[in-house]
Amino acid sequence: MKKTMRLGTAMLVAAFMAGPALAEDLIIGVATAPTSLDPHYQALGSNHELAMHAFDTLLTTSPQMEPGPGLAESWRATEDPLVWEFKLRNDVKFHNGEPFTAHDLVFSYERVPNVPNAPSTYKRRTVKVDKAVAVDDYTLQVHTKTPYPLLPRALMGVPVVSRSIGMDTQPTEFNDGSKTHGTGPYKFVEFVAGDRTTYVANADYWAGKPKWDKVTIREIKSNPARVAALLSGDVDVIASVPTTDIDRLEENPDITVSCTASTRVLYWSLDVHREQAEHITAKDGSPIKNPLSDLRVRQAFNLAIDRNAIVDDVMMGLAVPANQIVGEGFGGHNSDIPMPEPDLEKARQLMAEAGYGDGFRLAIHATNNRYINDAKLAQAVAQMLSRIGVEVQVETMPVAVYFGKARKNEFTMAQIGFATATGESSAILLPALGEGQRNNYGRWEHGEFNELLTGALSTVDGETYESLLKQATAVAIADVPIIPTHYQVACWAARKGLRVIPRADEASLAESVVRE
Amino acid sequence: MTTYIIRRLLQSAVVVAVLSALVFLGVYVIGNPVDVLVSTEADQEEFDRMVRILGLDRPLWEQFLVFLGNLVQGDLGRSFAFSEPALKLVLQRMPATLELVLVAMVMALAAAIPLGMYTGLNPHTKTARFIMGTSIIGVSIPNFWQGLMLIFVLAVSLTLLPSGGRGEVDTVLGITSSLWTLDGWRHVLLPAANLALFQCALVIRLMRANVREIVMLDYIKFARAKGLSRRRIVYVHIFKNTLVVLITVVGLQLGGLIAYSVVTETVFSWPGMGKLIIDSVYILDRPVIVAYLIVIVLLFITVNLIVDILYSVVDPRIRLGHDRSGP
Repeated sequence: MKKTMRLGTAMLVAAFMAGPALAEDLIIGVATAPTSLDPHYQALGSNHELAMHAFDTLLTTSPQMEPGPGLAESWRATEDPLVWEFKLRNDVKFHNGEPFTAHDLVFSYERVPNVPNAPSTYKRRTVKVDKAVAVDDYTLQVHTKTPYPLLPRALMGVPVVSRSIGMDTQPTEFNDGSKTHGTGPYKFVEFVAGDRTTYVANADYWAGKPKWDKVTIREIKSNPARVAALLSGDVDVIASVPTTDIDRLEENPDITVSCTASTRVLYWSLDVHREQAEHITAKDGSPIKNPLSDLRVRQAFNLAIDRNAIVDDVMMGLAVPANQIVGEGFGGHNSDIPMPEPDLEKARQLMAEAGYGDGFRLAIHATNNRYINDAKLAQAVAQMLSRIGVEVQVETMPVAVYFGKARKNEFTMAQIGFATATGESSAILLPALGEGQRNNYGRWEHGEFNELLTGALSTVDGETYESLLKQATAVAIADVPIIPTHYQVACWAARKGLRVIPRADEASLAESVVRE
Repeated sequence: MTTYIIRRLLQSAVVVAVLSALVFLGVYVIGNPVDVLVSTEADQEEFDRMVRILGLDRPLWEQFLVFLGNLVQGDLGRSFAFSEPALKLVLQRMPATLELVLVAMVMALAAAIPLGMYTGLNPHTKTARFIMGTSIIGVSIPNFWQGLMLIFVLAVSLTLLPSGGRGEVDTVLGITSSLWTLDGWRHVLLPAANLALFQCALVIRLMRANVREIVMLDYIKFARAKGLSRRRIVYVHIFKNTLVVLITVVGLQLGGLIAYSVVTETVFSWPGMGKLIIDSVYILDRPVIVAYLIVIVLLFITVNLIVDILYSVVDPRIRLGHDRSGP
């Protein structure tokens, strides 16, 4: 009798241990606030990472920004270069039980450019889409206006909503949860503005049970407070680890830090357009011809800037030196372009050859609340340029003031950060260097570059596209219309026992947090 | 009394109109909100569309007139960034700020009144000197640093209290507040202490000065001579007479705390109005800035009104609404 009882107890204990694990909650502290939970409202990192909990995309985005099977199991460019075909999963349901079909995709892509009152939609991703057609419930055909190699990458960033919400849905209706049912791994519970967003696991998720039972994403803007929240155990994971704390956190045995180079490149845009630059004068203050229109001066600047010093001393190692628009491993990266080594001798010589051996006076501009250490970076670059005889004055300003001026081409040498949403270089090359583009602040124009880029963006052949993109990059970098300095590194820190799989798009996702 | 209140309200309407004109001008001078809102991916067409949607393509005076027209109908416009009604956003965050400020004020007064009375009555004791010395530190430590120290000592090192954020909320009697839950109280203590410290030091110093002044007055001497108990003299004759000063300061500070709890809210990630206004200023979200200012102006006016009414309650010599220059 006693024996059986003991056995019974043992079985009971075993049953408990093998049974459902205890509720596993995850709290992530992030630095940035969402503007809306409407996944189509604004193409903004903080909105998108929340959207990716409750919603899916046609194709998933890998941590290194490669498209993978998502709601579509497979995809291909058809014989017609204007038509792409996606085969969809047939076992996906929205959180409210409705089955997911191709019609929801058609609806979603139609909604993207038509969200009421949206400040900045995902329109750029669907702008090449002529129409999306549901061939049957589980086959989607997308017709593009011109041959468009980036279609899978463009669509992998667009969340899919249920067509039952209707075209009149206001973005605010997502904040109270009435329209926030997607197909994603987590179901929306609550959004408290300025504080937190909560989700629970979607047990019927098509890709298997999600990793966490309950997920809370808390907004903790202040850097020291975010670190304190992690150290005190109030949150399990923090995003945007501040550069000042990275060493201390890495030494802490109870904390796991994980980082990856993000797709955000920081570069200096040079005014190559004007006859007389706004912010350049001779050292005595008299007006001179714009030295930056001379390639040799731009090359000299490029050689005077010590990227390793920037990375080590300003960014505390949390950056990767950059010589082009995207880093290694991203589409369009051209590994034949050499990393410019700082060479003051040669830089001075180039300056002298161009007739500026005595230097000139220059004001450079940067933001002071947008990119990591942006104002410090400008100071560092000013010092580096002073070594080749340029007298540099640094002017920094908040982002609200800065971009209005940049857009009016008021700056001569301006710091810009640009991230690619598609994980390849054309998403930056086109807006930042394309002729007449809004973000081409230096107004650089180059016929061969434009031709190569246009060529790349109108072929559906992957290899041709990649090779043309590389050539376009080489042409641009050789002419030094911009001086890339580094790629930002995105870091997460997690409490003991957890680790974050870092993502190049800087998104903090519950599914990226794994137990060790 | 009624005319007095009406006059006050009319004055505030003028203040609101002037303030919003200033905000309009200020935002206009600083830059274009669309530059911040629109993503870098967007092209010129998208940019122009947004400018049109927000009505920023019209001349400034026209934008202002449209705003005034809507204001009269009680519509403060929609936030540029959130696309929600601006007033709703501000009011949504108001309970969090109010409860924080209220707790801070109660904490400050609970500590400061007895300490202030004590130091005023016994100015030369060692304890009194110690209290006064400490209060100088309280006034001079920067709020931001003090908040971080509170977090690092009490939340990170001792893990007694949460490091930030607002706790669970509950609704009792139609009022939604985190003060109804234990979790809420655990969360509010640190930020409230952070806000309270300066107020506490300030009130101690004021109370002390005030008490010392009153102690010297004739009626206290007379009360002593009459043989009243010390207890009665302290609690009735001295304390009651410090109330006018106390109410003035508390009234002023309360408004100030509500409007300027920005630093504390940022350090402790407290989802109140202060955090909202800072974020809105960064992105030039004009409707929210204006709505916030209007709400703050109304709050100030209400607090001042209450203070004025309380004056006449505690000190019958003060009467409201009379022309002070007259006989």
